[in-house]
Amino acid sequence: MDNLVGALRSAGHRADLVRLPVAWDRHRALDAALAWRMVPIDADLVIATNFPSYFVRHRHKVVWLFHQHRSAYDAAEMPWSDFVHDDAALEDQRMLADWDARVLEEAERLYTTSGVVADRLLRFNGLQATPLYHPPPLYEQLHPGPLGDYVFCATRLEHNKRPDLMVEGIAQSRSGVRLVVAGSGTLEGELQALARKPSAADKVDLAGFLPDDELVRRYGDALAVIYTPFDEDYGYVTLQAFFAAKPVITTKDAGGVLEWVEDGVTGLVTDGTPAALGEAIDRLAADRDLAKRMGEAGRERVRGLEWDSVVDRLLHA
Amino acid sequence: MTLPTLGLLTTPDPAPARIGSLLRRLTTWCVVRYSAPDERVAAWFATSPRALGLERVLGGDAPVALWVAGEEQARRLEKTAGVIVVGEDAALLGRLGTPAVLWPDGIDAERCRPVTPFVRARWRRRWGLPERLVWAPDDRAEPPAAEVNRTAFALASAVAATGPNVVEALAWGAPVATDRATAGAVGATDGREVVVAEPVALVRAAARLADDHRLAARLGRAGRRLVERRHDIARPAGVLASRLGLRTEPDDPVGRVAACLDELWTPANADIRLRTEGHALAQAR
Repeated sequence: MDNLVGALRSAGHRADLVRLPVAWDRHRALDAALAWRMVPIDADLVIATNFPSYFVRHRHKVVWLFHQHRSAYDAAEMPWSDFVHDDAALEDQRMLADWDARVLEEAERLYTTSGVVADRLLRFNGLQATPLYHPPPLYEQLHPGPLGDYVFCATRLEHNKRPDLMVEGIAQSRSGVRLVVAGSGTLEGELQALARKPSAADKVDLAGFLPDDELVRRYGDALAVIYTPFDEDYGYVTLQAFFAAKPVITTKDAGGVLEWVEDGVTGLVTDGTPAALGEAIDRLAADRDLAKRMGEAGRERVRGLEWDSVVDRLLHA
Repeated sequence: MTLPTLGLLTTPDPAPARIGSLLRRLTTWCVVRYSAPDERVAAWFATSPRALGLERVLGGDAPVALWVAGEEQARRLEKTAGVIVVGEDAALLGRLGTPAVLWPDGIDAERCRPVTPFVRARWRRRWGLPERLVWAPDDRAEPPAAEVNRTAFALASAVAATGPNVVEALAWGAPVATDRATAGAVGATDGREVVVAEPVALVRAAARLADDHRLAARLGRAGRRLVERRHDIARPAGVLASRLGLRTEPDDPVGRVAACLDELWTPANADIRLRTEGHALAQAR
């Protein structure tokens, strides 16, 4: 959001970021939506991006949807969702889906951050939206570098990102390539335990939080980037990899990542098994020309991805 | 919060049953059976011109609405200048040449809660119903109990129907396949609010619709909006409430929250209504 605000200001507009606290349990999520409905916004135009901010009422509302309340939609069957199969929860889910459709219909223009999010909106709410892609953080600093001896990923260590899959994948690799994972999260302890197993020992570096300049360096020096989330909305990791001219190894259920990674062209799309991931890593380690070609194709793929055009489409029909 | 009171002027004659649904939409109301002015009353509603004969009680400025049914009643309207005429006969109201509100032979969309296809699927799973359920009520056969039909309209993957069932199904947000005549009658367009098919192919068309989750979601949403726009009785009720001066912008927290929830078609018994009203009242103390 800060990047959007910065881009709007760079384009000469006065832009303020409005945030309200939100809780994610079922009842308080609905309360938070209602709270947004009551907020008076004195501005010429409002751009809403996430649940529940798009409940804001404004005569010139543009929605650029990053995500809805996923626990009520595509993640409803996940263990962490409280939209379970009982009457009360199903009625809340019904009502939220109806509310969402009504307030999103109010938008003068309805964009999504990716095709995956647009498809969810159509499938779950019957609304048609246009994907509007934007550059990832650090895109201006990221640059190609030498193909090193590690595969890299910068991600939150949470269930939906499936960092364990990357560790299991590197454990299957035979090429001597290492895995470097930057980021922190609730799965940190589990990952450390997994990385200590004999098959993964000495192959995994859990680097924790890295400052921006170090992130840029790690991207630049990697052999490839590996990213294995489940049904990702968009996936900055993929785009950052491409800006650094690195191929991306991913899985066929990675969602928005697959809008960018074309198997054999800009990366390798696997079936998501550790064996297949290990094999993909070894293939790039053995064929560095292929890794280079794919990385360059990725960089070409993100050429022209700039904030100027995003701002222009958000502000003008 | 005190709601304005609508005084009901009525006679022992049976009043049209549909007046009840209209009155429920307006405000709180009371039955007035005596012939003296009543300070509580913000507006009057007479169920017939004969009931309007109680006009001697109407000293004061409270506006008056009158339900008119049939030519004979219409002929008795000469003495009722300034009365807001309400009725269900569009042609009759048009001939009166007086400000009138048409109360359509529509549907109370508020009692139909729109259910999107993916929530329908989860409900079916909860109740052990088939993963794909196409509901095809037969117009010619004995209709199923209203409760059965409503449940089916709320849970079906898609509905194959003609006639009055279509508006009801659309009100529940059901993806609907219907024939060309019905689509025209309800104002629906093929591919926008419904799928149109030949009568003999309706069930097959509905089955195909059930398998196309994106199209089903799009049609279900658009169909519901069509009902809200053209068939729901809430809109004329709002017009009448405004003309009677019963509808004002809420100026207190409880009223504003309630208005927001109304705007989002939140059911009257929704948990969030009770929680937010309780909270707002506590804050207001």
